[in-house]
Amino acid sequence: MVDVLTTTDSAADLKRGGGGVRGGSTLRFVAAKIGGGLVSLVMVVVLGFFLFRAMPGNPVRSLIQDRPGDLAQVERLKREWSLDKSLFAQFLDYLADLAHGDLGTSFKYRQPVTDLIWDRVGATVLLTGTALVLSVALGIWLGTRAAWRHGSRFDQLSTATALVLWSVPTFWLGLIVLIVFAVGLDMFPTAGMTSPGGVDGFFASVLDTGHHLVLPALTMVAVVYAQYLMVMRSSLLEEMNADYLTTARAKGLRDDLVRSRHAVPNALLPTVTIIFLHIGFLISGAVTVEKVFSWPGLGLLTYEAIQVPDYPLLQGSLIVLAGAVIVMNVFADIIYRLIDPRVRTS
Amino acid sequence: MRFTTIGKGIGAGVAAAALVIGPGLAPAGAPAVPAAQAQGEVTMRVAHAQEIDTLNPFTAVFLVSTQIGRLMYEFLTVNSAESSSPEPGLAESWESSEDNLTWTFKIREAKWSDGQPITAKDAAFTYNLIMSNEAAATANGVAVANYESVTATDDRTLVIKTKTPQASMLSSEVPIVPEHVWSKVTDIEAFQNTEAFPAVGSGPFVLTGYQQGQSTTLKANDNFWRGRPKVDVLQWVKYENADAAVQGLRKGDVDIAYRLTPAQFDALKSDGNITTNDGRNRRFTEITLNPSNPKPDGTVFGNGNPVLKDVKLRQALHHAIDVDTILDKVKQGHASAATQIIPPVYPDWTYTPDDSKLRKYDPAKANALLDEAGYARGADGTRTDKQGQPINLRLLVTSDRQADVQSAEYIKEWFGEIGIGVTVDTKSSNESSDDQNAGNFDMAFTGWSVGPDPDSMLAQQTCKVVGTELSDSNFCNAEYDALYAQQLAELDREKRKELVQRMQEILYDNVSAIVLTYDNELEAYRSDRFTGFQKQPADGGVITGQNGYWGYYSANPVTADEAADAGEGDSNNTVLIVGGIVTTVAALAVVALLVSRRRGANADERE
Repeated sequence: MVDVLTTTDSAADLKRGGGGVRGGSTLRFVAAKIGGGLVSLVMVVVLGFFLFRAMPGNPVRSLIQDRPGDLAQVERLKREWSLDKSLFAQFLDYLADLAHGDLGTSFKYRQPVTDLIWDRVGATVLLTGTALVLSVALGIWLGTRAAWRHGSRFDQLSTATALVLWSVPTFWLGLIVLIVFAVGLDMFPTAGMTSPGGVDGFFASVLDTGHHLVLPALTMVAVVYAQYLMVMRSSLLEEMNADYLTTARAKGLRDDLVRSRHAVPNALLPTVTIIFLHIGFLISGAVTVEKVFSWPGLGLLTYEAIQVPDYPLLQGSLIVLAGAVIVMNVFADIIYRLIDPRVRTS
Repeated sequence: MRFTTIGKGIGAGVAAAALVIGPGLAPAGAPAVPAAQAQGEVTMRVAHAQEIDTLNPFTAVFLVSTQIGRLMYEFLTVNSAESSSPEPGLAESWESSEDNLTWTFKIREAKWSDGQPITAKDAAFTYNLIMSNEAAATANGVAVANYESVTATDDRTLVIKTKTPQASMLSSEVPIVPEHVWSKVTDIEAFQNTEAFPAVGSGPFVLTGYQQGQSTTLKANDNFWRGRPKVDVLQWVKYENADAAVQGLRKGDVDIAYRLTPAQFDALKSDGNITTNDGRNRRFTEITLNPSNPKPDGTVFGNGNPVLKDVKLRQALHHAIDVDTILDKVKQGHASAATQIIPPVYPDWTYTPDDSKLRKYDPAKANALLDEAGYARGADGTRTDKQGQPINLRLLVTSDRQADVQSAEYIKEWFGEIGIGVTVDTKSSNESSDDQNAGNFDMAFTGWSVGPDPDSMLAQQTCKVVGTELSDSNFCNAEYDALYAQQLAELDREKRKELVQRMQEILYDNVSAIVLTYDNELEAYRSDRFTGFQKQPADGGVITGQNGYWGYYSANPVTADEAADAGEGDSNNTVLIVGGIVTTVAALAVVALLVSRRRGANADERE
């Protein structure tokens, strides 16, 4: 009842406020959200610098371990990486470089951080994007059906399967998938995003990449689709006894249509929000899956940078990873407002 | 959003997936032919877990990168397969002057991979670049630090003058690059050496492709002075986790895997297509004992327990360790008992104490030494230091070194038996590195991979590096330092050998550290495809991780006939694996069913 009341209130509010005022408030809302996002990003930029330097680890020690060194070399490295300067001076250099869009040069790879990250973003987005699309589709589809016939054998089985997969350790599941499909059945390769060295020809290389993508994407889908299923299922369950569904049925609509035209669009809202929030995390990827299948993603790049620690690379990755999350959060707020009239006015 | 469109989307996705799976369903014998691999070429693939930093020989410092560098660029002198002693590389002969300051190398007649002649000028260019350009000195600056000048007096003669006599000259391992290519490189620091393929070189293989974080492709060098290798293409494939690499080896996606765990190694033994190699390697594991020596500038270094300054106590600790148990239970037979910092794979430099000196496992003796030194046992059995405080030592362990974590538990127990308390501090590698660097530890597990010349490892125990990133044990001893300078200037190998032995004897007598084990390299390869690997050292050594290119250079592809005779029993294994998997999946399904039942019941109750 409360829900219904607020909705009517909102509808009334909506009518009272004219079109012009509403447009203005939307603009102000969007500006505020973007402003908030920018503030967060600035904090990330500042925090990133000090956070990683406060972390344990000594890059000089890590990078001379494998090779005969002498004191001159230690000093040379410290000078090259500005580690002999004061922390504040390093911070100013970092800000100045950043202002020019320069994320610095990786200690370890001796390459511009921007290039390194750019090389890996594609791989990560391909894997996590594919997995997201598939898991959303699967989650929504199963969740809808499970809720529509809740308590049924289908509901119990699909929900339970999803939850079991969700709780299985990703590393373990990935290895099992690898052993079964790549080794036992010999259907897929055991590592990488392409065959070693790559293949010639556009079509061939698309197929080759796709072939390598199957197992990691499958593992990721298996692990994450449960969250879409559960959200979709519970939000649809909340709608199940709504009056408008009774009305729709009374109009003589088929059960399928009641579900797809009336119930699902209303129940989709929370799922959409979750999807947008997850898109932000797409870039940070899934380190575990990348590690099992040797997928050359950004998550692994960052993980391996921590072990040095490679400050410029870590700062750059943090800005990109956190930036993606912040931007998608802003989007989620804005889009949610656009598609749900109730949020617009409250 | 209409829901039905999602359904259609799924359909399209399935169709796309079918396309993608397609190639995988083709007969296993006919995989997609990768680029840069013509018909009939023999490709050998190496699985590596460690990272490649860069393939520029002037800046590459990681082990895998320098390993690949050895295949691409020849040195003046190389380390022999038998014992790592120097033998001719690009230099076919050499001599040093009377005053031991001038070295003259005669460069052999050979060609770069692009057909240009290799001359002494290329070598002079390389050395002068390292000496004059700070970025170019990143990886090999140490080798030339003592050089006065390097000149090519003609195409075949290279003259190196040193500031002081340098005994390590012939093990300097500096990759010589072609001047006609590298003189055009303007920024050595930023250059990756993957800008243009093939990268002109002089080693057995030539770099022809690189996918960062994925694979590195090399092809046989037709112009290699020893003759072309029998393997046509050598690919390094990055595996982010060792279990996947083992599966890749079983399946045949790769031909060699190394750095295996004992469990993985033992599991591969039963595979008929795979040969395992428990190779004597150049690594050792030790426990350093913080002696609280001051830094060279006189400042206090760290907060080590002062009882560790007492050599009797350090000796007692050594006597309390049962190395055989560690070899057996922790290393599972894949290591040998150690004495000092130069492993026996370098027979000229390793040190073996007399039987009278050798500190064996002997708790009674340890107790006697401690009693004698005046560390009386308190009421609870723990010994007390000179101030009457119970002795408790922190033992720093790096969490990702699993064997050390296990050994630490034994050591805690053994030290407990002689009345010394131990607190095991297990920390991440970054934290542990910080603690060691700051001297904030009493005892720490560590280990090194030792190069062919003892100089670098010996330098790590000198006074001037105490408290820096370079020091191993933070040891400081005047006699040792004097001998260090002496051995570096001693060009007579036999005399130098004696000095190096004496230095290690000092380390041993003073217990600069407890060197526990010499650790073997566990590697495995597809013997149905390749044989004939030359090991280093020749007697029971390693294939991967050598101080040379011998292993990969000598690999011999197995012909089809030989392959048919070799290895069966693989099918057996596959059946086992698939069987295991099916069982697991079935078990999972049962769990799912049970959970669903319970959930169903709960849901009913709730409603």
